[in-house]
Amino acid sequence: MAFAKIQVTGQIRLETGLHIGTSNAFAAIGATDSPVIKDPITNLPIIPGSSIKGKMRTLLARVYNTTLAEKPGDDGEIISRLFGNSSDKNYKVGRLIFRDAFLTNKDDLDSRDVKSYTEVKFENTIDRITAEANPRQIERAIRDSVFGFELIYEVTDKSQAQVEEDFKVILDGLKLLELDYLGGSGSRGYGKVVFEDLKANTVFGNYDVSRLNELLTTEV
Amino acid sequence: MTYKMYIMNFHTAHFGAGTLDSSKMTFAADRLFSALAIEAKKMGKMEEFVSIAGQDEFALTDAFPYLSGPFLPKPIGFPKFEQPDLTTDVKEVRRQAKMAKKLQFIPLDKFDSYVNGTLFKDEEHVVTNIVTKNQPHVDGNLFQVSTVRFRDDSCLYVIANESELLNELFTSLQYTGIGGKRSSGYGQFDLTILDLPDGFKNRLTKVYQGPVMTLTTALPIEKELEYAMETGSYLLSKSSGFAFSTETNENYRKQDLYKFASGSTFSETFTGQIVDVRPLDFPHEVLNYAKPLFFKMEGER
Repeated sequence: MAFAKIQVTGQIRLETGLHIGTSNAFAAIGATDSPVIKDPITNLPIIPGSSIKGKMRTLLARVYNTTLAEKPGDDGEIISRLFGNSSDKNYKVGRLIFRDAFLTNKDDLDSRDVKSYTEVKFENTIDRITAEANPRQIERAIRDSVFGFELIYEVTDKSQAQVEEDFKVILDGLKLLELDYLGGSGSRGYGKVVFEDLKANTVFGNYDVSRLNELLTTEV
Repeated sequence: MTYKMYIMNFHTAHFGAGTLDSSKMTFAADRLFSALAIEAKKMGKMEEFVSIAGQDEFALTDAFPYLSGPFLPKPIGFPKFEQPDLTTDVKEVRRQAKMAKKLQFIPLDKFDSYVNGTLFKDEEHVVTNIVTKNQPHVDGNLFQVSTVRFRDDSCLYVIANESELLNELFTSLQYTGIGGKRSSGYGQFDLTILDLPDGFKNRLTKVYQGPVMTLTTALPIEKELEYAMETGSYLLSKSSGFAFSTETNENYRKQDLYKFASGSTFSETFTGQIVDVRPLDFPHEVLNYAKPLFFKMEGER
């Protein structure tokens, strides 16, 4: 019986400011037009697991889908088995579990005299005919913030032979994320992220991760 | 047979209360039982788990908060009306009634004084938060997920009989998580297994002739039901939803099941059952755990 859980841990470092928006009601009313999502208890910015999962899936769908999938339900086998597919009975739950990423280098930022963990960026639009400016404010998580990244991969009888193949896909996903952006307004320079110190670790059951660790260190 | 306290330290979780945009703070034993069963299925130990669960001694409770000590649900129907707090000021009595209504969980050491009529404010264990999510570039795909974010020192605990298999399943469940939206990071926890304090352990029972409170959302077997309903003070809780299965392409709804919520009080214990709520013509059984573990309302003297 091969049942194991492999945990991939690492850090997400922001190379540019990150904006993952939220509904206005909860975070910092009246402060900015578009606030970023924050942890309700510590009030520090977070990266929700659903943002990482969704972005990674869409990026990977461009690479690994043989036909154009109009909805996530049409995704090919490789994507479905990792991320899940509610319309396919074999993959109702995928093999991956993401986790919210919380700010981990608060102390380091404090020691560098950071006043606040988010910044407010002023931007504007200029009308082409009247040349009139129409300003807006956008909140961003500041660059050089580091978030703890965690991913659980489940090894079952079915997936045993495909672990290395799956990990190549995950690595491609992470690489694509580094070349793309996380969060909103990415084409304007927001959300460049870098994954650091990626490590695989078997947290339940028995699975030798040395091959996977080689993969993780060489390719990202 | 030893009861142990499985303490689960959550960060963020979603325990749906019928919809995606509502979330409860804790979860009932059937949710945990199903999570453990699916975990057992993946390990190929499903039969072993079901046979252990079928034994009479097997017990599982709903999850209750743990904040430097275990909490218990509010006993329904207590304090009795013959012991009003203050008979003089009607305003004060109303205020207290409101407070008692809002109270959900009582710390173990204050339990007896509550039954005798002392009131206090509810502890705040979690912050409930609603986050809006979407699927970009698709019309109308905006949805809200309600989450509970636990305060740093607040945990949840369940009581169960310790067994090797159960420990293994719990260890594995830490990384799968429990509750909704698991694959986007909700519901994972860190596990600690603790012994029960003596004063608590002695009051747990499965057979006792005397006033008891159930710690599990449970349903008596047919012939006990009438007596339990006659003598008990209880709340009904509905348990329903889609049956998770990898053997059907469509998603089918389970049969609705109504049970006595935890905190319901009865004049004596009953046995309870594991109900099969499978939809019609379903390929495998869908078990809903409804066997109670009781707490004696009167401490040992």
